[in-house]
Amino acid sequence: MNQGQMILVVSDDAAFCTAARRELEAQQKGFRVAAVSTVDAARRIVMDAAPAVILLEDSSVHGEAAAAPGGQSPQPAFLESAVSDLAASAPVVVVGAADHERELTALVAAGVADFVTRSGGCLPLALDLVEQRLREARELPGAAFQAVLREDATIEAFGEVLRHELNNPLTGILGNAELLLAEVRRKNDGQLPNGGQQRLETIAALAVRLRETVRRLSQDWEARNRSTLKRAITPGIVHPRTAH
Amino acid sequence: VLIVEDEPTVARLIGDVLEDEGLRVDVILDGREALKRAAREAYDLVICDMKMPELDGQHFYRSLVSSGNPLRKKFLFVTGDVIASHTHEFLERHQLPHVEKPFRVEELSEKVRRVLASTGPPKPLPALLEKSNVARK
Repeated sequence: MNQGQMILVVSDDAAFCTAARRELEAQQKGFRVAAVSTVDAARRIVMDAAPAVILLEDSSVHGEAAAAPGGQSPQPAFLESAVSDLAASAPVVVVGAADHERELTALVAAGVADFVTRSGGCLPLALDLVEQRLREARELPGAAFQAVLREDATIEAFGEVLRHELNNPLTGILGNAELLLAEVRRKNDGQLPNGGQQRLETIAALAVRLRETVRRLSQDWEARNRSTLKRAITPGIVHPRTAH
Repeated sequence: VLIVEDEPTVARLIGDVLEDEGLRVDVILDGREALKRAAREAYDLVICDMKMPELDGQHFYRSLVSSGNPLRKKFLFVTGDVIASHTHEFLERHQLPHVEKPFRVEELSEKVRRVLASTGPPKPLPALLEKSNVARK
C-alpha cells in the first residue's frame, strides 16, 4: 500500500535531511524519500513528481529570504509563500522557529497542514505527523468524502432544527399579533377585545421561548467553534486541517 | 377541518383563523391519533404539519393514500422547512398545496379558501375499501 508514496524533505540542514531519511527508511514501509535544500528546488520537483507529503524545514527558506533585497533571515512572508506554492501539490508539514508560530494565522491561510516548533526532539514529532498525512493520503478520497458527507449531514440537521425551533414560535407570534390587531380594529373602542389578554400572553411567552432558543443556539455555536479551535492549535503542533 | 399539528400554539392559531372564517375545526396534536380520526370522520380539508415526532406529515399523507381515504385529495401542508430538499421534493412530486411558516393570517385564509373551492363537498368514507385494505395487511 505504501509503495510509491514519496516524501519530499525540504531543508538546507544536511543533518536534518539525513536524520529524516534514515528514520523514514528505517520503518521499512516502502516510502521513497527525496531531499532538496531549497524551496526553489522543491517547486521544480513538485512539477514533475507527486509527493504524498512535504516536510519543510524553515532553514530552506534562508536562501530565498537572503536573496531578497535587504533580506537576511527567513521572514514569515517567504515561509508563507513557500507553503502556499507547495501546499497546492501535497500536505505541507512545517518545522519552524518558535517565532513563526506567532504567524500561524498566515501560515494556515497559506495552507500549512501541520506546524512543529523546532526543538531538540521535534523530528520524531514531525515524522509522526508526516506518517499521519501519508495515511490520510492513502485513504483519500473515501475517508475525506465520508467526512464531508458527515459534516454535510450535521449541518443539514442543524438547519432543520434551527428552522423548526425558530419558525414555530414566530408563527405563533405573528399570527396572534395579526388576529389581535384585526379584532382591535374591528371593535375600534379603545378596549382590549375578548381573548386579547390571552393572545398577548401567548405572544410574550413565545418571544421568551425564541430568546432562549437563540441563546442556546448561540452557546452551542460558540462551544462548537471553541472545540474546533482547540483541536486546531495544541502546544507545538498545529493541525489546521484534517484532510488535504 | 382536521388540523394535525404537534405545536399547540400553532394548532390553536390555525383553529382560531379558520373559526373566524366560519369553519368547524378538530385539532389533533399527534399524527397517529389523527390517522384514526381521519378513518372515522369525514372532513372537507386536512391541514397538516410536516415535521411531527411520532408520525410526520409525509407518513400521514402516505397512510391516507394507501388506505384510499378521500381526504388524501384535500390536503394543505404547513411547514417551516420547505427549504429542506426532501420536503420540497415531496411537495413538488405530489403537487400538494402548502403554506410556509411563519405565515400571515391572510395567506393561510386565502390558501384554505382556494383548496376548499377546488375540492367540493365531503364524500362518505369508503368503508368497504378501508376494510379490504385492513384485510390485505
